[in-house]
Amino acid sequence: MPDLPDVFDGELGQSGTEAGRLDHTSAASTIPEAQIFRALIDNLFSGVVFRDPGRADQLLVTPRTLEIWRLPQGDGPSDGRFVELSGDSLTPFRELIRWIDETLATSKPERNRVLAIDRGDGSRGVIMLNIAPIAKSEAVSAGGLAVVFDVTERQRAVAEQRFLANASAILASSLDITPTLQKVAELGVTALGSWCLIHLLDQEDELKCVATSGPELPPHLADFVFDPCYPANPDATVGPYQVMRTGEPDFVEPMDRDQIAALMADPEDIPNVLGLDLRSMLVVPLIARGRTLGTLSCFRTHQDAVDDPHVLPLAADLASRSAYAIDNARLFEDARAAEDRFRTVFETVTDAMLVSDFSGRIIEVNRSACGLLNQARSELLERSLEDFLGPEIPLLSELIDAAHQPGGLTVEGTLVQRRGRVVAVEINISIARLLTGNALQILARDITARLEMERLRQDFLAMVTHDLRSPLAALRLNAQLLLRRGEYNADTAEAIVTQVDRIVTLTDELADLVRVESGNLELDLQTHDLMEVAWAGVDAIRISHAPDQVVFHQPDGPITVEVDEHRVAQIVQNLVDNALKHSHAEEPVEVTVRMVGQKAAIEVVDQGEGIANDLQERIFERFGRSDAEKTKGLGLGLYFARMLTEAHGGEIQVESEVAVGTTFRVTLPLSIESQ
Amino acid sequence: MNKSTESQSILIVDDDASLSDALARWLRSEGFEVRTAYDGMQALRNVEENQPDLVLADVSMPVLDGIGLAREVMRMGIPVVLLSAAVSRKAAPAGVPFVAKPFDIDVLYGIITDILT
Repeated sequence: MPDLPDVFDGELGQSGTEAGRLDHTSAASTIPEAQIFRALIDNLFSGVVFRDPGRADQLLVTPRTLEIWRLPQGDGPSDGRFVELSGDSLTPFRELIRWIDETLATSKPERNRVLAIDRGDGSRGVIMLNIAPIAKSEAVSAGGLAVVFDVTERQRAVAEQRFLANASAILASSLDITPTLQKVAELGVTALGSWCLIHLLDQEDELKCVATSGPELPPHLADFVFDPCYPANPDATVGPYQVMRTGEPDFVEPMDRDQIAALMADPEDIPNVLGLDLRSMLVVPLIARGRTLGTLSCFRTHQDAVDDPHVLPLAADLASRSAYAIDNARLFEDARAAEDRFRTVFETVTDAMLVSDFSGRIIEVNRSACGLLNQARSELLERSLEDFLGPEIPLLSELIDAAHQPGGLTVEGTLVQRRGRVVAVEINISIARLLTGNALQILARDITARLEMERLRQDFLAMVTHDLRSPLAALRLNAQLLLRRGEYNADTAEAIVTQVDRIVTLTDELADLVRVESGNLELDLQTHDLMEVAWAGVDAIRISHAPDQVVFHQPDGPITVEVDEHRVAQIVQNLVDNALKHSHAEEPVEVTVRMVGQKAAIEVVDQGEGIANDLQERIFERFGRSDAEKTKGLGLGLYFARMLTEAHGGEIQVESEVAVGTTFRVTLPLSIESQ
Repeated sequence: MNKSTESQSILIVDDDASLSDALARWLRSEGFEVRTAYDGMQALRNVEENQPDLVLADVSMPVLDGIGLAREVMRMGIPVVLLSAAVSRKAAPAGVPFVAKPFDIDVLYGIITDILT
């Protein structure tokens, strides 16, 4: 190659001819410097470019330089070390030539300049170059030498790291997954293709697009790329559905008519999609903990840079990070939902619940517990459980031992409320197994009402016993006296009859109680004039009282009702009996039958002692008789009055003022024909 | 029946008139002087006025019950026998005979005569 200048024939070459060595004193001085440089150039990983300003239409490059530019080696004259480029083959180097010429003009070396290049295979590369002017003399440049390093891979690695770091930062920024995935898709477009889509399986196991990014498309094209028409065909052997089935990435290039047809449900859409000028499609699965949650898809057009082998691992890495972020968000969501469910139950159960550690420190309480202990949640947390345990409840250490037994421990006792007030409770203590370790779980139920009911039952039983034993005592006494005298005595025999009647009345009352309690009360409903029925009740009482002690006011005309006459008479009898017991003999009890609105009413009015407001609610209850009363009978009169009234579809009300008197009003529906 | 009881007086206290009437008839027929009262307060006034030799009282009564009455009457040195329809002695003062209803008249008579002789 006679035409090719020896690039070392400049200043370097001259110094070489003068001394023939690099280091005049070294042992290697026998090797000519030019040979050393040639060997160096032949073995450099970098490319070397030489530019002679006198020959502006050409450039000398090493074969390695052509490799970096991904250009064929074959063209142009070569001396085996440098290839001479000229004409059109200079085109890829225009930018480089400009930099070398600039450096020659200033005569200042240029170091570590980074330059993006278009490579021969259409891809983009990045080089770093050092440019040194080679001076023939002080004033004249012999040429410019550029050493070119290919930093494409390094740049890409840095960019990928940055990309994935950005992705991680986005994914970690929020547990609200949908907007996060949208940001991931937007980031994906910067490195993976023109359009980036994320599909997730929804709760019905259907693949739904949750994020899209890329240039906006006209509707008919958007239909393909974006939901709901893409991916249109669940049976497609390419694309997201296929990736969901296999769990393997799918890379399709080129995106020709056949491939697009495979994705489409409707062949009419194929021309539209062809119009997108797609080059390739990459779909990677989103897999976390062995489950495929969805897919990440990237579409590249012919305008995008050529796909290279790095896109797939990068997309896979992004998909993997996204999948774990989705999984985490869902786990968090599940945990939060579980916590919500637990919290709802915990807060709405009527039992008080407290959780404490084994030192007795309260770590959780529900609303019922706050109510039971009459303290705010903040006042209970961190306090010691022992502060609230009444004396009947075992010590904490014993509770902890017992709690470890199957079923825990159930005891009755008291809990201490604010200011030393106590509340009767049944307590169950067991071990709660929490994620953070075991704890003591205390369930407490207020049993004040139950204890009161038990006390009332016992009182009732005592009362029944007492009320039966008293007439029995008189009965036995009279019978014994008859036996002893051996002769008939009318007073004694009459007393016996009276005692038997008392016992029968009591047992009837007990039988009624059983019927009413068990809901087996049978009514013999017939059409009656309420006045007559009420009068029967009043009359039964008047027999044993002074005639003017009960005053009866009858209505102007008949009031027709459909009732069990005996039961309604019993209601009246009970109310009048009660009124007589609680009023003075000189003040009559008045019974009035009249219409009140559209209903029939019986009113029993006394001017007696009256009923305190707080007792008025209780008087109609079973065993509702106040402790102070020591009257005979079971104290069920008002309870029966209410139950019998309600059995007739009626209502009973009381109005009372202490020391003034009481009015009981029973209202009953009119019979159908009189309505 | 022992006629030595003739001059002795008994106060019967029970809110159940049918029982106290029968008791009164019987004890009069046995030769006692008998008065009756229907509650504890009435009984107490009667005791103060008439100083009976024995008070026969029901436990369960309005106003002042048999137990309270017994305490007062014992303080005056007058013996008391309590009748009760309840099965247990409850808070009956020590040394007060307690007879459950219904009772056998021979047993009750024995108790009364034991105290009065």
